[in-house]
Amino acid sequence: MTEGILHRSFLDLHELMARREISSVDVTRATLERVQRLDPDVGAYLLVTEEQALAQAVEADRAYAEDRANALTGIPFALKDIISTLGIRTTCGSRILENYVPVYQGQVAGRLLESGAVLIGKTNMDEFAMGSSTEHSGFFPTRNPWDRDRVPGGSSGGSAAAVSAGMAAFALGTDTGGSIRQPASLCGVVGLKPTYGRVSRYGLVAFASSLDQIGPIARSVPEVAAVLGVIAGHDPHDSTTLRAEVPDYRAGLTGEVRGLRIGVPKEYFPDTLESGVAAAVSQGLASLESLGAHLVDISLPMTDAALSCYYIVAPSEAMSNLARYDGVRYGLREQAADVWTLFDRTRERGFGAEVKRRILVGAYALSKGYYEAYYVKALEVRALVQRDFEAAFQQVDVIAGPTSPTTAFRLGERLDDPLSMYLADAFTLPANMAGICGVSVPCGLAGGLPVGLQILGPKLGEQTILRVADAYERSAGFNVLVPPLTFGAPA
Amino acid sequence: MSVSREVVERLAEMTRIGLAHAEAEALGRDIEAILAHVSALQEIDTAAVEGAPGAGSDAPLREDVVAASLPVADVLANAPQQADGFFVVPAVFGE
Repeated sequence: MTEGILHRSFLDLHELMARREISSVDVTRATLERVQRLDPDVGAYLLVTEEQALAQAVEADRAYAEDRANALTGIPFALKDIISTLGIRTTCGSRILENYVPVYQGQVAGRLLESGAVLIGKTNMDEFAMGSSTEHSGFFPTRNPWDRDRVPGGSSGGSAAAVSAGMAAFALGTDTGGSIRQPASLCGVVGLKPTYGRVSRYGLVAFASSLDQIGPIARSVPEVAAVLGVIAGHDPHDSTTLRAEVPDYRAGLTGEVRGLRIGVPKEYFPDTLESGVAAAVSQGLASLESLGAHLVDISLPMTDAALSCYYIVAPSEAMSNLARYDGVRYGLREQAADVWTLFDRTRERGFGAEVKRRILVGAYALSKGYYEAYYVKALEVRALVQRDFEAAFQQVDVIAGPTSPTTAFRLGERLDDPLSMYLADAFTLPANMAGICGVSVPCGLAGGLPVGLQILGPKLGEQTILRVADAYERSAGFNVLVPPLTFGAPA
Repeated sequence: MSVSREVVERLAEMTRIGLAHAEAEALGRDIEAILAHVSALQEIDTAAVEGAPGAGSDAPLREDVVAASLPVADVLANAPQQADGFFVVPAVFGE
């Protein structure tokens, strides 16, 4: 079997498996070989679960033989290493959890494994999902398969790079301020951030609990829709999950967008937008118009404020959530004669610079004398960001624009300037502040690097944004962007 | 606004992160830049907002019923140090 098959839609692979033309063991072996060949140059995986994967593939082939397979059965996938996997090391990209092995199964991991999907491994990420380049991993940076001198985006950079390079058919990421959509954009794949509460966070290592959401990354919209259908839904273990019924997301992909109103916010096209990004996105919008959608100029005046708001709210929640890493119950411990020194040394050594920075910013924003001016003010502005979107969705069905203001930037370029790194999320984090859904779909290349078109929808508007993304993908004809891999030993 | 080394050290003490002096100074400059940027929030009129909002998701309370919890051995499996079913830490109180 050739490796070329690894860039086919997994929905096709499922059909081939159902007809016994290929087996899950074949596809899993080919994927593992590809990981072995390419990943030394990409660094997408923190852990490859080869033995378990092959055992699951055998089980999947049995499921096909016994006619109890579904679209995900036997399909190789990857999980961002922030999602707990029972008995499989979960580091969250941090030295402080370097040897942590979860004693319970994360809800989404359980659902995917029960559906028969084959876990290839756990992917690299910015430590505790804090970052936009995967350079803040506590272990090593991930490189963009399109250009290894560039970042894959982040924080789910390992997941996006793995899918882009054919080292997994799909992956899960998490999106707190753009961490699924931005790396999807920079790696030329499709990434969806569902509505807050659509997917259970049980077993997700918490960063900013009012913003975090798990979602799928794949190479085409129908594949993303298929994965969402499996992971979405109410979970008694996560009381923030919504009770709304889970629709058949794939059935909603009709290719039809005639009469749909697409809002184009002027704030998402600032003068500083990279010209190649602006051109690709404008062309994408023009394609949607030619399919019969109406483009409507709108304004989201709180866009700039949302960024400031995010960098108060997220660090404040993170400061609280990360208090649990104290070297007592799990994770790294630096021995000391007294317990306070034990805490100080464990956290000094276990956390990287960006995590410390955000914990301290959070502590500042929540401390006496500053709480009202920073944290409470940020929550009030957050309400205005939500109103921005509510008002917009009175006028339009979806909102579209660039996912990221730039294509993939160079490794190291923004590492010493936290603020410039934060700006990478300017167009994605407002959706997290408002709890709405968004998807990034490839809309071409600029300077040989992928550009993402972001489509935002109201709460529980996944069906609509996926329909738009799918219609665009079909018309654009490059529904799978394959990076010109110029590295790795020959197959 | 200036974030002095003393302020950073106080924040680090509250969040139990040991910091070297040099690290405290660099972090102080970073935090200063971040706070200067987010201070734009102060200019925004939020008089129309009542109450502090969340992400807008309903979070109904569940029934308070007894359910199985994780076995003690599992819970202790990741502990850096344990004995007799307990986590072990250095003495918290002096003699």
